[in-house]
Amino acid sequence: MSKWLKFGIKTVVFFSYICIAIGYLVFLFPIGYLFEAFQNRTAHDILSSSDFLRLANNHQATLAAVKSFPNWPYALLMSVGIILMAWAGIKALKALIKLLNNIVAQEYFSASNEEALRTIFKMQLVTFVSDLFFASGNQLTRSWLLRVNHGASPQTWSDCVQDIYVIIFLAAIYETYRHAMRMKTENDLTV
Amino acid sequence: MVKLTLNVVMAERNMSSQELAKAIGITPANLSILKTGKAKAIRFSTLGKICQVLNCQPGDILKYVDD
Repeated sequence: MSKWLKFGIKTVVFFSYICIAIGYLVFLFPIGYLFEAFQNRTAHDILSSSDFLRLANNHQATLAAVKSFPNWPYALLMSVGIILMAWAGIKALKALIKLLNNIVAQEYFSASNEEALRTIFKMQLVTFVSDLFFASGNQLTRSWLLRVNHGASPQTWSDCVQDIYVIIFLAAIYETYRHAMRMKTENDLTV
Repeated sequence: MVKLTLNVVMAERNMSSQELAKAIGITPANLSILKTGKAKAIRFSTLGKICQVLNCQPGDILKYVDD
């Protein structure tokens, strides 16, 4: 393995650890959404936030729409989405670190690599579910308040479709690796 | 399934695992895989060497048994 590749992998591992630390802080974000819903000012905060863009060719949201905005469903959708996203992100990064460390140790075929790939695949499924929650929450702001989220967690339905493609890619990689592992085991047991 | 009866032939020839492994040029660990039935496959070259050293036919060390 080249010196530069090793250095690159170790750099990625270092930044992954930082991302994991940040990921744990993300678990606190739902408190903000729930607090806003509790104070019944979710709609007001969305309308005054620079994170939400007004839809083109649309007038301002009516006062009735602002008043009838479903605060609690929005807060719950976004909170569940954030928790799932943070959980999936942390687990996937830990699996990635394990995979990268095994590559540095030149352990290309091991049960731990297979396990790591399976974890990354499963966590992409969780990410898909979390994006469904985000897309539903962001649909509420779009339908009620005519605002599009472009700040934190701006996922829409098209992101869910992209997630499905990533799931298919990861499933293909995992299945290929699993097959390679089977062949390796068979080869090891050929005398 | 096909089973290896290497143990029986080795006992008949009074040959130890160490001796056989050395004679056919495989590691004792690999010979153990063969003897314990963990092997998924056996190379023709290995089979040929075993037959040469033990002075037997492939059929003497390979047996088919119903599952």
